[in-house]
Amino acid sequence: MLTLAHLRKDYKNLTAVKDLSFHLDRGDVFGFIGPNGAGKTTTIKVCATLLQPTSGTVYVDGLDVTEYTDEVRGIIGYMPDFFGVYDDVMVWEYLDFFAAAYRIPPARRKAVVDDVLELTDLAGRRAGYVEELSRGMKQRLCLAKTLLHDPKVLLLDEPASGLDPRARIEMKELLKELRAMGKTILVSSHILPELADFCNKIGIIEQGELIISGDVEEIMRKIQGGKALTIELQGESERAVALLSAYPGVKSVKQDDHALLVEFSTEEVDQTEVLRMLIEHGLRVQSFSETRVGLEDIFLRVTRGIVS
Amino acid sequence: MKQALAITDWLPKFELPVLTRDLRGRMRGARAFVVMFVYVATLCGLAAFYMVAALWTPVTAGIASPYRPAVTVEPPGRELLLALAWVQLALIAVLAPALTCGAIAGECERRTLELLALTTISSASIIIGKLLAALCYLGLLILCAAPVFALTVMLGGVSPLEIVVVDLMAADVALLLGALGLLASALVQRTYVATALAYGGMAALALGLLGALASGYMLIGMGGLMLSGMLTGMARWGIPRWRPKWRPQRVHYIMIFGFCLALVAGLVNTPLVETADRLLSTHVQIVDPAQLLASSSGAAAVILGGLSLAGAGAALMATVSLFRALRAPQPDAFETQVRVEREVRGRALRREALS
Repeated sequence: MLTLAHLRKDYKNLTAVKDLSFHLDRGDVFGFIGPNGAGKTTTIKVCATLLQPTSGTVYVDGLDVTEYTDEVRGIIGYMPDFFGVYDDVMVWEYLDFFAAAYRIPPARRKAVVDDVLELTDLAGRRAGYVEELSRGMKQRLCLAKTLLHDPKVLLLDEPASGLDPRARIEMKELLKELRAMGKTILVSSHILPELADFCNKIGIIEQGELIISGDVEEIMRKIQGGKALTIELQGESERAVALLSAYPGVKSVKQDDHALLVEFSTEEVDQTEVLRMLIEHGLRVQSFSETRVGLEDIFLRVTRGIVS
Repeated sequence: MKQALAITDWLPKFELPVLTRDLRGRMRGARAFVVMFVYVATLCGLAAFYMVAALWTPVTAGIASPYRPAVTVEPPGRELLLALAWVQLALIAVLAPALTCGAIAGECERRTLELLALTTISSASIIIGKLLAALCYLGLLILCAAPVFALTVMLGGVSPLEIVVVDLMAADVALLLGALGLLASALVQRTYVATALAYGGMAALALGLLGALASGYMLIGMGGLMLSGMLTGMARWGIPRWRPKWRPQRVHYIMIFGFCLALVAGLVNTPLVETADRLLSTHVQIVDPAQLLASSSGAAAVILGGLSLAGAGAALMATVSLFRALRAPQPDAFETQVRVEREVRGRALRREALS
């Protein structure tokens, strides 16, 4: 659905994007992660036909974005991180304007606008003025506008930036609904938790280079390398650390507050044996569970943290 | 699958959503009413001043005698109409560019251009919508001042048709200057520069108009504008047929304008202009702009209307081409460049701090 082939974007004294390549199939949700200034916005703008690449191509549904600009604009929906709104215009008028601008026939327009307001939970603010909306509502309005022409590919540049926690959760729920509708979504963010349980593919970019990209599960397995256990003990953690470090197959033991994170070098580990060992040595185990390495850990291990 | 297309299927192609949005929003702010008030108040004030002056000044019209020539005095209504017409023209001439030269540059600055550029509607629809939005408001202003003009009928010497002619001329000026303001807005991306450009252009035009109406200079100027409009249209449609991957950029359009303006300036002193001048002054009886305004034949309105349409048409063609170039993928997005520069500076500073 969306393919980037060796995309490169140079500015006068800086290369914003170096040799980016990845592919999204229909229905994929791609989390584009990277620190500020990594090149996320530049890449998304190229995909959204707003920016000319220096070299390389981007294909949306098989169409080259620089050659078939008008057709591509009908397929994609772009939500920028900064945008302005018009003064003295009501919410429904704003959406009606964009619906007309996307050439939706007048007969269908009202229904489409109502649907989209319903989806983004702005139906109550229909008759309010756009400039009076809170930041979260404005973001939702922008998303509503993006959905008017039912695009197959959504390009969202930091959709939850500047939102309070509740609004963030609402935005995530909204995006989950969009995923359920079968849209291909590319979301960029530098805040990981909101992307974690939502994307099925990720790409980590730093200083214009795509460090790692692909299926989330595969990457986690690759990075993690083996099983990980989180153990909480009541006291005597030093003895536990010593015991666990000596246990066969243990890669590392880290202490975080009062919990121990034990990483093994293989997946083939019998947790029950480990638990039995700890109990036999008289340690009081409060909680014992298997953990997967989170997106934050992947991010920290994979990036070098030069630009933060 | 062949189906008879209903009119509503064709409508989205020719719709003007920009106009609809502007009509809905413009009269909500206080500003629209303030401008309307100032406009009508100025004309009312002028009329009131004239009435008071006329009441206090005795009008002496004499019978011609060998010792004293007759003082011919215009009927009071006519005098007032002339004054009002000029003031209205001046007000419209000041307002029209102000309304349109923020149209495209303002969208750039307020960061709404991106969202508009990505829609599937034609650039022509957007530009014409913006021009018509300004014209609708100016038309409203002209209508609002109609009662003041009606006063002149009451004073005598003026037929209602002449008021219509005067209003039409104001509309012509609005059309031409509005289109020029829009062109200025598309050429430069900063509103204040576009404003300066628009008013500069208007001053040049006004001098040309007042100095020598329907002279060869005017024709050459209009011809140059139309030529540049056609060339920009060709650049958009013609050249990609010959070199498919070529995309017109703003710099190409600006080069075309520069060339056409240089051509105009170059032709000004040539025999061509002198011949045109001579031809026009012999065949068209236009002598004095004031006379022109006062003539009841409507010839002035027709000539000015023709010129405005031609000029506005050319300006619109050029504006649409420029806007298309703005809408296409840019080599250098405005705010990305700003952010990139800031990032580069930040990294350089950090590197210095670390070393």
